[in-house]
Amino acid sequence: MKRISAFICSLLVVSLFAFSVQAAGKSAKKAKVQQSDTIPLYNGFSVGLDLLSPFNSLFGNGYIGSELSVDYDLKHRYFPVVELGGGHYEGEKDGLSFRMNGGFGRIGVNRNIFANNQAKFFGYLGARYGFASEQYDYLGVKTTDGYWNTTNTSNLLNQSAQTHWTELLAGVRVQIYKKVSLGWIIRYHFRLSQTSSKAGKPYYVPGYGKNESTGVLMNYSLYYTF
Amino acid sequence: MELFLKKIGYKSATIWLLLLITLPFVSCTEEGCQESRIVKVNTRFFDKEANEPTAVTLTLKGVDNDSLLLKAAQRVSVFEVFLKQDTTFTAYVLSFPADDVDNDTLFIRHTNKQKVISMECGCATFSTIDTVYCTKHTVDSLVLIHKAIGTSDEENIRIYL
Repeated sequence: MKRISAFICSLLVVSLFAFSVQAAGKSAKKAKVQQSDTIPLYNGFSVGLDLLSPFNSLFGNGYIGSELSVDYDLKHRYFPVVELGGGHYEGEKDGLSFRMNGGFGRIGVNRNIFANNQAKFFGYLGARYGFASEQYDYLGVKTTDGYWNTTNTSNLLNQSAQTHWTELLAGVRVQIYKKVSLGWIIRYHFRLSQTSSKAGKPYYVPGYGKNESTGVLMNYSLYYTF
Repeated sequence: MELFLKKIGYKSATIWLLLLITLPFVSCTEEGCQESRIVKVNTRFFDKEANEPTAVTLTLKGVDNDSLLLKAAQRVSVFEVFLKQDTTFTAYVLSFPADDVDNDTLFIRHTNKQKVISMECGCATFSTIDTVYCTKHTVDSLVLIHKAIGTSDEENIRIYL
């Protein structure tokens, strides 16, 4: 089942990449391509605010957070990015509760794959390195031994974890009014390493999602370009 | 906008849009537990003279517990015992009914620590053995091989007969 899920995830991401490349090819043929050496190196920067993070709970996710990004437009092609955020998660399963507070950062670059240099719409591929630090609690930790019929109940408080990961992503951004634009990003991430308390690994990692070796995360952001 | 859509192609733009609208509703996570929660002390019988594994007929029961873990089980070379979670001292009576010899009692002092395996799997109490000793009616001696008690099949205690 896990392999099937992973396969579906991979397929979706690969599809996005494939369509991006397809669109790029068409665009390149039809558009008047501006010579790259006539484009200034630096063309401003954009600040983005993720609109999904504060409203995740509406979609059944216990995470509420905020996320900001800053990207720099280099020749309308390369966009070095820094993303910072933080949040709070609360979840419960069979009487066991998890809650965490934490922050994260990502650094990486986007590559515009369209030949359209007007920046009214662009699709891109990108890569990130991410890091998160969090404090978490497990509440209602209950264990029972079947032979002795003994039960232990406790709360495991003030645990901490640090997580490192890398991401491949695809995104689109559309200008909606003058310097304001909206965009989707879909991220496929791979956990590189994690240090955590001996009481157990965190269930949720800010900026990463459920604490599994791979996963998918989305952003829907509002951008302002300076 | 129309010029732009013509530029990138309506088909591509539509596919992009559909994918991006659909993706948030696609779940790529798996529910369910893949790990064991059974924490046990793995104990193995060894022949003292031959210094090799041996098997006996064994009845096994916890001290102050009426339930039998093993009842005259034959050819037992490895057995598992469970530690109390609410105290730090656990004892078992080992009987060897086939050999008409005296019983022995295995005493284990340990510390307990709860751990969350995962939200799906739940929790378990893992232990660390501080000391282990045994009466020596039939048992010759014992060795603590691995102090950390977990869910693996790793040998923890070796009992020489």
